[in-house]
Amino acid sequence: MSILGATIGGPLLWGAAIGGLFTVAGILLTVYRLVVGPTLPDRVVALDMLTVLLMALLMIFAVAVEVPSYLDAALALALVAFLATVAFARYIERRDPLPEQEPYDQAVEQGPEDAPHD
Amino acid sequence: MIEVIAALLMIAGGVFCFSAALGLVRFPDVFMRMHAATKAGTLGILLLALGQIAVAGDLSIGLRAGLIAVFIIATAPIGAHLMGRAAYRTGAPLWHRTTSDPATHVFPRRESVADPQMALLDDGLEALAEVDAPSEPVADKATAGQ
Repeated sequence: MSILGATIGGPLLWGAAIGGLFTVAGILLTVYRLVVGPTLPDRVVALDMLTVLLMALLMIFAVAVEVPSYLDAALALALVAFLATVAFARYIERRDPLPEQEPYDQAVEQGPEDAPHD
Repeated sequence: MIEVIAALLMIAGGVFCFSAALGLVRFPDVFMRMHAATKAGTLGILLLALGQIAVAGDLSIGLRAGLIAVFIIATAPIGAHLMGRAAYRTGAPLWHRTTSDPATHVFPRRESVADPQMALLDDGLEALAEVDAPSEPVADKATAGQ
């Protein structure tokens, strides 16, 4: 029944164990990118990926221990991770403004050559 | 039988999550890493949710797994789009072998803060391009890559 108690039986628990091992290996790789990643967007992408992998682990764990409440945690994590990514993206974009602030719509309408540079 | 199918779906989901993390480590710039993380990660979660639905005992468990799948499908592209735009506009360096940058004249983009090794590679490639074609405009390069 239990994974950590090391008694695994039945195809469902074997599948949960193998999938969980792959997911844990993925979490380790993602933590490497989170620590090393040369730019700030790299780290934010790694953080997003880390939440997705935690959701995967929660879903596998819900099957393994037959406690469906872990699915609620995964559901909440999906929403919170999205909000965190959006907030990080806005923060990165506004951290220090660009030298020429040129709205995207104007640049498309007027073309690249006669776009105003002020 | 249905347990075997669910087990195979969970193994496949774990493998896709692992491959997403592997792409996150191995790909050379932010945008490729984002591509790996978003698509493979979403597919992994979807397969896991499918496995949950296959072995769900009652309706509420399957409904929750389906809700997770719907939320991931709805939110992962938005988050990846916003992160990619922020990374591009703040000058995250592209891979040195990137041939086409279609948004060059569309988005204002800060000069990229590449590491010196990547800058050296860029200089070498520019010198090679000048040897090959003396005055090749950037617009031709952008359209030729599509």
